[in-house]
Amino acid sequence: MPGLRLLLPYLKTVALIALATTVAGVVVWFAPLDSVSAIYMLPILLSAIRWGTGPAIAAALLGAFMTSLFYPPLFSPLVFEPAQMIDLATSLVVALTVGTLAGRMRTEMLRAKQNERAIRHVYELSSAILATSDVEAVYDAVADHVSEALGQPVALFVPQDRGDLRATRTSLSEEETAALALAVPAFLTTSGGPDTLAMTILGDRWLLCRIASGQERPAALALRLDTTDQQGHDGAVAQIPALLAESARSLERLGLSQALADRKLRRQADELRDILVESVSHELRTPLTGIMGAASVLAAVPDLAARPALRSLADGIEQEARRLDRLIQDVLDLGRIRAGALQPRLDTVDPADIVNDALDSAADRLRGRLVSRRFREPLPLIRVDPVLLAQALVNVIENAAKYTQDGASIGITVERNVDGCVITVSDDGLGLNAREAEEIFERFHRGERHADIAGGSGLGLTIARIFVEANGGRIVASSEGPNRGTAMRIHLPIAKAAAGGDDHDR
Amino acid sequence: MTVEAPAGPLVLVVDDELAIRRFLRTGLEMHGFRVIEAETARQATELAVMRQPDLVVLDLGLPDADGAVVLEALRSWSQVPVIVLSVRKLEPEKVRLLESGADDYIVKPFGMAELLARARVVLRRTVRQETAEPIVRVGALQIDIARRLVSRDGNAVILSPKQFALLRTLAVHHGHVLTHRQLMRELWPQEPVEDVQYLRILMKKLRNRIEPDPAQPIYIVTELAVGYRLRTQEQLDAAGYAEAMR
Repeated sequence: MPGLRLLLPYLKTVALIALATTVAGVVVWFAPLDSVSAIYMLPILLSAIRWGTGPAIAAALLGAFMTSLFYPPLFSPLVFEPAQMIDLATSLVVALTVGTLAGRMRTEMLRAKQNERAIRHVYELSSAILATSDVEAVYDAVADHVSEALGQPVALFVPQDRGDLRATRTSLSEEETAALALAVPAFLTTSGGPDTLAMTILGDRWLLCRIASGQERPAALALRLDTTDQQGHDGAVAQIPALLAESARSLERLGLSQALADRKLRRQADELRDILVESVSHELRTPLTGIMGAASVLAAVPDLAARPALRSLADGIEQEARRLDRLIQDVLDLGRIRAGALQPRLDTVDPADIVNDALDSAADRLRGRLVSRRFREPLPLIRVDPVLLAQALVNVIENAAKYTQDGASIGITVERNVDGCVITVSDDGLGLNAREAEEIFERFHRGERHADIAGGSGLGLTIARIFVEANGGRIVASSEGPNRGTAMRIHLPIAKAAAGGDDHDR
Repeated sequence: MTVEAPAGPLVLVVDDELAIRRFLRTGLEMHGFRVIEAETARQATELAVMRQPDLVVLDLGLPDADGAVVLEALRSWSQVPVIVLSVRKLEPEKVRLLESGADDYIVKPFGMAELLARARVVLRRTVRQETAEPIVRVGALQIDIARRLVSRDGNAVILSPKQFALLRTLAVHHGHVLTHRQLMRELWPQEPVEDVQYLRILMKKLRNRIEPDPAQPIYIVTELAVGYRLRTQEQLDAAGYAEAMR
């Protein structure tokens, strides 16, 4: 009942005046005074301080009236003498002044109290968040805290990996939650950038706020407002920004420490992978070296020269060991790629050197093929990692060898085009259909039409593409159609020409 | 002291793997080398001091220390040729080893023929240093280092001073890989050696003058990401150009 609440200070004031009158009566009875107005100052001051200007003026008026009763002739009211008038005026001035002062003080006090409460809430929230270790826990803490601090039910909508929202921590009915869930996505998309705090009031009853940090997708908190209590409502709305700011800060901090932890983890993983690659490489290649070396010694034994069958067995061991070594290399390369450890060491190189090196490495698999190389001079120097690019080229050349018959021709052309250097490996072999031209770079792809062609890890072209791309280049496969040959074009960036490059040749 | 003199060159094989030492011993002995073996870096250093081998075949992954440590110790007092065995396919490491005194390297796994070819080249170097041969011949190419004359098929080849300097540097280390840095220090001692572009351009011009087919060089070969090598006749034959050139 707001009426009673308003009236109460006045009733209390009347009671105070009555009390003062009693005191005044007793005093006057025993020791006649000229003026009892001082006694009435007390209730005026009290009312002013406790209840403000209104009750204080009431006290002043009542007091002045009662004082007049004590003027001679005693208990004859409504005698307006100058002294009484002065009493009345003084009382009113005191009531007004003290009432205003006290009112201001009371407002200050109230604000201070509110501030203190808000700070306490933020503090409690931040210590609650400090205990958390992931983003969802922060969201939960914020929801619990807002609900508790404002004494209102809330629902929290947390973003999921798939981009949808999940309602948690809801103390609302299912229908309310479902209705809010419909409104939240639109709110989140319209409520500004990722770092802003945003609130909106929905249908006078709901406060929606966004909880966000730099990296994370934002969550939304819905809070039911107390519509019966305007003051409480305003207070609640006023507190929320501070809470949201705190949670945003915490999320950012968390994101930062998470990033730091991630980086540390990644570095450890890098070191571990290096050790692993090193040791796998060592463990697998050491026995392979023994096998290959022993086979090569056997193949060279003079006694064996007269026995071709045995000799070819020894040669076979050596060749198979070499093949195994290449497969190991493929797997290690792929491991390096998957771990994201591919760091090209860029160098300025002559593309012809790369092509010659690759053809050398692939020589034993090119047996029976007619290989031609054509360098369309003048060729630019290219800026690439020579080892990675040569490996990519070996893989492409081997692939060409694999899908061509004996006696087929494989041509390698290097030429300059408008924006770089292009190495083309073309063959007159089995060719590709349109779908295959896309798919051949995929891992373990092996032409369905040529399922009978065995050998290799099925990783060669995948690795080739990744190595070429790591060098800032790209690789494109094209074919006139099945059985009409294939062309693999590797586009590469050229090196910036050094100033006065020719002057050094003196 | 010199009791074993008439026998073949003494090779110190340093590897902790029995299977590898075994085939190296058999293969080397089959081709007239004498072999001593070490399993650890310490053993290797001791044996090198005591037996004074003519050639060291050094594995990098030793149980007690990196092979590079052995190389460093060896180079502090000896010029014995060293061929490094490495499973690591890391070019920067090869460069580092060559620059700290290794004569050549082989990546595991490898065949006996590869090792023998390299062994012969590095052994010849020590012999040549004693005889100080001023004329280097490979295929149809002839380089008279002292008189600064280059000819191919008997016809004089005109080179610019820088081109000749590059060829001479390679010829002095005939058969050996010289790293980009080593070549650039020699050719442009005043300049920083970060960018190999000048070297590439110079090499291209040199090849245009001396190679039968500059697009497919046979005399000066590129060791990708490491350096260049002027082939010896034996290396040229091994590469399968024997008939083409004779």
